[in-house]
Amino acid sequence: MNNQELREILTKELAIDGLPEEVQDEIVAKLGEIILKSLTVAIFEKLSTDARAEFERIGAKGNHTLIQEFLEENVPDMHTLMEEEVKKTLRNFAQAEASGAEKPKARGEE
Amino acid sequence: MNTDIPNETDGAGQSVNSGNSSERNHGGNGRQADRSALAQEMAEIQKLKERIKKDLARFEYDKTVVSTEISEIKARVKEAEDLGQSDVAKNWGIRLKRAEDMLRLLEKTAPSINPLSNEAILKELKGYRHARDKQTQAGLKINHGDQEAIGEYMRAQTEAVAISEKIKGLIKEREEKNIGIANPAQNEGISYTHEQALLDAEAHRKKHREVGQGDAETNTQAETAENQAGEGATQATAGDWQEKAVEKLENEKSGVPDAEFGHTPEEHDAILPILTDAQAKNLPVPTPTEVAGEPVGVPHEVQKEIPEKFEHPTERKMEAEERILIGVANAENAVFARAEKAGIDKELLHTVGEAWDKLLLRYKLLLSAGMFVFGVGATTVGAATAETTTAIGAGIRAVSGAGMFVGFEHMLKKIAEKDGVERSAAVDLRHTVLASALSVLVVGILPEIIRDYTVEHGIWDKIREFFGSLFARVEPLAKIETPVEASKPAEPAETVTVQNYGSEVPSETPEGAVSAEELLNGPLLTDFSPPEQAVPIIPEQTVEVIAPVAVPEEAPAPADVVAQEIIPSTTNDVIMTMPREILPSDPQVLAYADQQVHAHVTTLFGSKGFWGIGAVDGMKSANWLDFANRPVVEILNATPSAFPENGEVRVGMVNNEALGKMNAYLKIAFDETGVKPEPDEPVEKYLKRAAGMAIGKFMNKE
Repeated sequence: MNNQELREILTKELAIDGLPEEVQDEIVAKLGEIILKSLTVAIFEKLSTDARAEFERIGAKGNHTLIQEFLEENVPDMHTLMEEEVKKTLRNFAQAEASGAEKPKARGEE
Repeated sequence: MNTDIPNETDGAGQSVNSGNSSERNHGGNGRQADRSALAQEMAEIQKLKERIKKDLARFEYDKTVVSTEISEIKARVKEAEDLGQSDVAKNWGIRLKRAEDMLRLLEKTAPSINPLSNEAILKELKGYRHARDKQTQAGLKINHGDQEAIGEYMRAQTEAVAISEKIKGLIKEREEKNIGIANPAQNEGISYTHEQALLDAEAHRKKHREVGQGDAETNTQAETAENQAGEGATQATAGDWQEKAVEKLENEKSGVPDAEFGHTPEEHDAILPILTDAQAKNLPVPTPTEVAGEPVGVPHEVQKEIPEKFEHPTERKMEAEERILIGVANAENAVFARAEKAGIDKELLHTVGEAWDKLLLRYKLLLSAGMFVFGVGATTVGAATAETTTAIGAGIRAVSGAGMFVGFEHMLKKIAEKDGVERSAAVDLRHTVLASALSVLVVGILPEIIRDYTVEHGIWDKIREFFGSLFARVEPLAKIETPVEASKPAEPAETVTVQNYGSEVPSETPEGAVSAEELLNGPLLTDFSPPEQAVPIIPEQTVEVIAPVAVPEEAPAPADVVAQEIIPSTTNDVIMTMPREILPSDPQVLAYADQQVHAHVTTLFGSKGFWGIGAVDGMKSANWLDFANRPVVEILNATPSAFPENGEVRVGMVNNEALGKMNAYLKIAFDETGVKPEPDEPVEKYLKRAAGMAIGKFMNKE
């Protein structure tokens, strides 16, 4: 196992290899969070309004098995979804970073 | 007529433009330039313009950074107000005022036509910011109990004051020189050299007086020029202007931030944390943790044409960091925009973010790495080896725990192996990553199950491991020399770095004692070893001194706990240099205990934020403040309250998640230290006492 190698791979892929390690960690962690949120949206996009309501109802029961079964039934192509969302996020990040796009709204201004 | 002289003058002394590219009339001062001198002058003018343009761009960039900082701080103020944290809001308000003062100062230092003056001011501004950052950092240290940082704070403050005076002096000097000249920061600039501009202005006035233009028009034009200069210069002679400009500057002094930038004594007291005990207890000052020198937030407007080369490498670095921040923020905003379009409540994504936030950094990095490999493919990611991908999976699995994670993994495996085909290592990683991500996701979007999840399953079990060992892990007062390498068997005569106590099973990690925060937030570089490599507590052991154990280098299988080879030894074999009996009430023991509890509470209820932005010290969080003074038994006996309605914010005892965490933490403290809470003993007092007792007990071990 080569930790340094993986760090280099990741940071080069994200074009953040010139930054301090602490900063790299934060960016990597933040991008992970964005991917997760993106996956959340993707899952909900697949669900109809009724299905969303049912999901919340199942979730309220706290039964993990039911939750898993629900997702298995309503979102069968989870792998594809995850792959797409990772690619989308990295693409958005790379595009925005490369073009130096305009600043988005600050938090609190949404 | 001499056709070689481009600027011929007519009978009135005015030059005639004969196709010369310069429209500037040099006739006003009677000066005539030949072609070569004019070309040289034009070249110099061009150079100057380029320099001014560069200064302008840098000035705009600085303004952008500070404006962004202001915007972020305003958001923090709003957040704190929404949460009812008036003290937090107040302190953010102080920072906001400081940033706004900074912006005002910056705007007054808008580049003028004199590049040397710009440079001097910009240099001083950098120094001012640096001094203020040092002051902030010292203030943070003091907040954490480091009284020695007071000197540092005062020095930084004095330096900032001195520099601000210097800047004011430079501004005044520039005002006096650049009278009546259009300021390039406000328009494109109509003059290019100071002397030339003065003469041109005079020529302009003279011309209009000569041709009998009305005073109104002259005044209007002169006023326009003066307004463009932005300094309210008068329209009379340079001498008159100077007088009035100085007078105006005096009047404007109230607009220029003073030495303390308008802080009232109360605000100053709030910033400088030299408080009495009573005041300190009543003033929970949050500790914003912006890192000195780093940009805060994302610029409002990014210059499309930021100059390619700044003079200082740190500015280039800051520019790169700014761009990356923008990339991250835009990637996130794209998700929110999509959610809005799909009719998904934004709050859902916020709760997912909160669930993510609560994870250990190590876990976040592992999972993120796994997701990247998942998305871009192992072969694309520089052909990450099977070993590496297996290690990532093992690491994630080790931290994810049981319950939901296992359920998801099982589900994915079932789907994949429908055809009876075994999963490959790459597919295995994908399942692990997906299962882990789904676990966090579901916890995030269905907060009603958080209480059961956190108490019964996964993540808190793993955190418990850390807490258990952390109550026992502290840097000893008397550090013994030469820690024995993990790979070597212990020799009787060797000294060892004694690390563990409380459990009576000291052991060693290869890197020596680490603080609680270091352990929980280790860097990615060393992160792919699952946390089981941290030594588990074996309470049954009674060996007094344990030599270092051989810790395997490779990540163990997820289900296995690292088996430590314990080599018993006798007390006589180890040289202990404890100077005297250590009491739990010893200041250093208390300091260690405070430090430990602080770190634990920050892990429970605090937040590192992002790049320091929004970081919250756990001890200042609303949840902890609610728990700290309650009796331990009240929390142990509490039952969960009804689930909150959408949008309702609950803290402390009425927040199920927080209550669950606090409950678990108190139980861990009791289990690991054996210290029982006294009747009605408040939580904070109990925790510090338990930690102190455990530390003192260890130190006094014979």
